Amino acid sequence: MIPPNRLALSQQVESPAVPVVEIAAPTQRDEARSAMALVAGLREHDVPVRDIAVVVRDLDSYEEPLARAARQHGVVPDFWTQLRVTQTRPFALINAVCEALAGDVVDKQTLLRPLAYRWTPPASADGHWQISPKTIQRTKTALPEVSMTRAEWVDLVEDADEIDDRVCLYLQWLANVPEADPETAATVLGEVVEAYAESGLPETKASDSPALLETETDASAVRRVRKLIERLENKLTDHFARPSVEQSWATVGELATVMATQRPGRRAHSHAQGLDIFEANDIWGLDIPYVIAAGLVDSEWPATGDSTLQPEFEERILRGSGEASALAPNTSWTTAHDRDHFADTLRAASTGVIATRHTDTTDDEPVHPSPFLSSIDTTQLSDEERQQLRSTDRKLPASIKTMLSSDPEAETDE
Amino acid sequence: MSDEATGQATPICLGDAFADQITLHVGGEMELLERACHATVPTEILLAPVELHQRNIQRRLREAQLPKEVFEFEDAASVSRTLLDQRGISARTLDRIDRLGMIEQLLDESASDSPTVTLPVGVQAHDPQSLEQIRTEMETVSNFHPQRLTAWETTAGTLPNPIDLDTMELLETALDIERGLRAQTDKIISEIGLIRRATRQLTTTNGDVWTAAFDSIDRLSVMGLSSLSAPYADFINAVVMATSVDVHIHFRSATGEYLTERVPALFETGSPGEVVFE
Repeated sequence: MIPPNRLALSQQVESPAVPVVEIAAPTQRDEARSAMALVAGLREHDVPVRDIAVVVRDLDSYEEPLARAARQHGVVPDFWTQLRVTQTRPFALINAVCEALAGDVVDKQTLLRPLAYRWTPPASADGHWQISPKTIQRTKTALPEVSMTRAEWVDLVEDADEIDDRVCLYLQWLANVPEADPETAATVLGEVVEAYAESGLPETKASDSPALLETETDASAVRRVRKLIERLENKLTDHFARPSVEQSWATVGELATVMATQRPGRRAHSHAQGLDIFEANDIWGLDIPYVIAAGLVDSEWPATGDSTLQPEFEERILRGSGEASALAPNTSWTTAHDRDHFADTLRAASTGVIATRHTDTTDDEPVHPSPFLSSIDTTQLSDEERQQLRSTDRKLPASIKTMLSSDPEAETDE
Repeated sequence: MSDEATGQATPICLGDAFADQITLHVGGEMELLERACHATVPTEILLAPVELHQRNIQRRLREAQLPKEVFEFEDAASVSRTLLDQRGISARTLDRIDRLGMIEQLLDESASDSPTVTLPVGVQAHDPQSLEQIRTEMETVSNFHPQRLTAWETTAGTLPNPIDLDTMELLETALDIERGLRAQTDKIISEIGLIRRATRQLTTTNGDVWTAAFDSIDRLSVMGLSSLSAPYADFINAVVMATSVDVHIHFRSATGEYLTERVPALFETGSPGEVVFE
């Protein structure tokens, strides 16, 4: 028999005290755009941006479409998430440098990659260091398909007229980097990232959109990479002391990657006027008038964590009869953990909840709604209302206007 | 936040010592807004393991224009560090990267003095991350407490073959890894190990470390949790055994009803912080 308290983990989410409007868009991209059009619409009705929050279960799958949709609607998003530093240019640069220094011989692709990530010589900010992708491409074409030592590459390019002088200077720098000991690694990579901060970062800013999203990401990444390098020297000292570890630039690159993929603290952009975008666990405790819960589709929300224990054993611990009662149950073995997060997402809203989902994958496969939606009362937006929300002369749907009229701070136009 | 957030409260009774000292709640955490007042010293620790939750509470206090000096915002590791400080005990702790490196070392068959690690079916010798996950999951469930390890074995024994053997094997693997890590360093293995060390200090000093560090505190409020791990349960147990602080645990709505019934049994494990290794 299943004990009653175990069944309590399978209860359904109750409707919140505030109205819930449901938006079903065809694709994830449409869904993100509808959410951001709604934010823009609320802003037009004088709802302050701090009175709106967007919540998703997992930003990994929603950060990109939401960021893109936000840009289109002139909304500046503040993503409360860990910065995936390995996907940023400053990190890619130091990683590429380690790879170009790894091994006795190196091919031309590996050799030139740091230039593509804006390598610049240490302590040079004379502004002539913006090698265009075209120049890099031309160099790549001119060089032979061979693997050679870095010194041999220097000899080769010094005799070749068609190679840009800056490429020669870079290769000379590379050939002169000493063997990887902990102190050298920290110094060399530190200089590389500082040079990036001086000349690579301004370049990002120059080509960025007015909201400076890329610049912000790039700048946080520089800070993170600096910190990483500060820790790297000690880590390398321990790491190299182990007999099975080879003291090489390849090892430096691998260790830097492991360090960068650790779950760090949260970051947020520093805009005062940004739209807060949270993962569901992080909205706990807040009180915000309008909460947009996005990604309410089956298999996305809820999901269970991956565990190394056998499900049968987990079930014994969850039920906790006999000696199993001494063992601590983990509710992320069940969907109740995600239901906690969803319930607190609903509860955070003091005026209204907008639940969004999409109905098809990009391959036109159907996507079903999250089971969480089945137990709460929602008002569905019609296709026409959704299109009007997205059109250039935006119209807020009646169900949203009802929310506005219950919100003392917002102004309605009726 | 809607009115339903004002939750139900269940004082738990586990013999005289505990009666009234721990109260389990479902929701109701924002009643703290009513406790916010001006104070010269903090009297309540708000233990919120998720860093953003601490920030969210501070934002609520700010929005309500309430003072926050009566509260001290902490997580269990920072409280533990402060407690160990009172006795001059080093709180130097390995991080995950250190552990992964050491586990790799442990698996290096060429090193003759390396202890044997039982590898469960399906886990490769070159997969330190899986092994670290096995170690942490076992620690979360048991806190390496001898009574709980027995409970693990007994419970595993009731499962059908081959799940019983697989589950026993995971226990062996986790213990091998933890032992192997301990053999390689003087530092504390993890932040959980740090909390465990503070847990033992609380009981062995009969609460003196607590008084030295948090003399003005009379209430500990734990919030934002969807589960209570064995290390957290033992830490809270030790606070209750060694001090007269009132402990309030606020669970969340979907898991709260379940945990309110399930969690009291976790406090029945005696000598909190005890481990099989020493």
